[in-house]
Amino acid sequence: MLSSAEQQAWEFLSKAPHYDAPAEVEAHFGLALAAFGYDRFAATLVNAERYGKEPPALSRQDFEAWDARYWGERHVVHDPCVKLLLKSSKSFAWSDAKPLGDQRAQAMWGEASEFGMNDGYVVRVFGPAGHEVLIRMATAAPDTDPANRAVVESLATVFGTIMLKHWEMQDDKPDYGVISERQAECLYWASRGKTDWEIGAILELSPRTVHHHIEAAKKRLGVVKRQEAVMKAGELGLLKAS
Amino acid sequence: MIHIITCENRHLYGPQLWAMHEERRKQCVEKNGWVDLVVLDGGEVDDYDDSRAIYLLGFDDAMQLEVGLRLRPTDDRCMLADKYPHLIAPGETPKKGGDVWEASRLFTTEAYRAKKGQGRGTRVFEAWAAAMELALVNNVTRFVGMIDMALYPGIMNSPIDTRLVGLPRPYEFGVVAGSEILLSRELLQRVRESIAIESTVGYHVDELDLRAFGDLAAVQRQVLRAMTPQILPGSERDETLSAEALYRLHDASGRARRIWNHRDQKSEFQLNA
Repeated sequence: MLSSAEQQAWEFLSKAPHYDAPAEVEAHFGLALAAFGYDRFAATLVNAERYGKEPPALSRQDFEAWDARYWGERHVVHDPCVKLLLKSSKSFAWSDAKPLGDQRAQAMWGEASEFGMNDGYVVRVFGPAGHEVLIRMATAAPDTDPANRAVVESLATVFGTIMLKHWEMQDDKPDYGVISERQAECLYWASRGKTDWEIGAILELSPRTVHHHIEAAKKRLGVVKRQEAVMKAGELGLLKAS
Repeated sequence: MIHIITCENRHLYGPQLWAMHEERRKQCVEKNGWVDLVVLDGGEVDDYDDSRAIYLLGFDDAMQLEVGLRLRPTDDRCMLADKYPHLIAPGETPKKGGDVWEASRLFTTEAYRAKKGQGRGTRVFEAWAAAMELALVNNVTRFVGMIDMALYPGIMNSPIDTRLVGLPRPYEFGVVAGSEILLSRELLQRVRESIAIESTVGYHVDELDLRAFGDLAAVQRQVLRAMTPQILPGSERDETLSAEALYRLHDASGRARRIWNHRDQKSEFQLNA
């Protein structure tokens, strides 16, 4: 039998791929995470070379005040979590990073406690187009049960992947014509015989997002097959390279 | 092209199957660190490598292994349901049965992953497409298996809808979850579209193929050419098929001619047919 927290987590994991809006994903993720004692979280888009600058946020719940303090005080310079991030791609708890810190890091942990963040968990999600999402979750009451940690890590992995997909889908101009600009670009490369993976590599999108764009284009053009969509878009003069 | 290897043609693939077991050792034991697996003479082997296992292997032109996937019917045994039932949530549909196959030991070789240029990133989906073709003609409706959650973002971003069947659990080397793929013609079509392939991907080579063409590499070349869409008259496919037809028409035993006559049905290999 699953505990109530596990039930909540299972609800999110089984339904998350089908939620439509990012707000819906965020709300359900927040509920599932709260069941494990994590009451605040932030998902940020980062890449290794961008450490040191405040990265763009995909989602934040009660993390704004701490982020403002963190970047304002430039804690990033001596944050031992950054050392762990650069060393390994694995998820970790703040408590795993604490032994790596110096006195200034100890002061930072003290400040975090003032914000009600006694421990946290950091999960990295790597998108197929080279993007990386960092999900930070914080709690006042640390939980060291490895089974719970595994579930929290999985929740964050699914959440980060879905939020990244929504972020990619936003990067589109819907008024390009019958189809959107991104859809036109995807169809253009499909017309050149490229696979979803190759189109993703060219346009810096994940293959699944490419698939979504082409499926959406098929619907808008009223056709069933990809080749028909390419033909139709070509006839309408909509095929476009980026 | 993906080679379908069953108990009926396994004897044609000795060195290739050996390479697969070796590669599995490199991937599973050395790279993933699953040190509790059984290694026999340098190759990783488990209880499910029995006569009912079906191997889907992809090779380059020189017959160097690039991708591998194992399928197995679950009406008798199932790794997920029997060994890891805690990965299945209460109330889930049974993970064993006549219409369920278990997919496991998916890998790509390091040489393939290091490759640049056309076809990069497609081999895994070719293997899945071949698996789906084979499963659908054998009335299989679901694949079940286990995935390391570190790979789940890539899986969620693939054209194959893979659902979790229970809460992920920690294991010695990470976090693992049970998974399921619901099979359909539409899903197969979607996977083929995503890798820009229109025809059948899997092929079950038999002794007559070897007699007709010489060796596995030659059979693979012929099958790949036969799969090339014929766009213009006089294209490579035309010449290849002409040569193939000429060879088979001169086959004294007549058996090669029979293969040629029934070539359309050849792609849909049925187990125990």
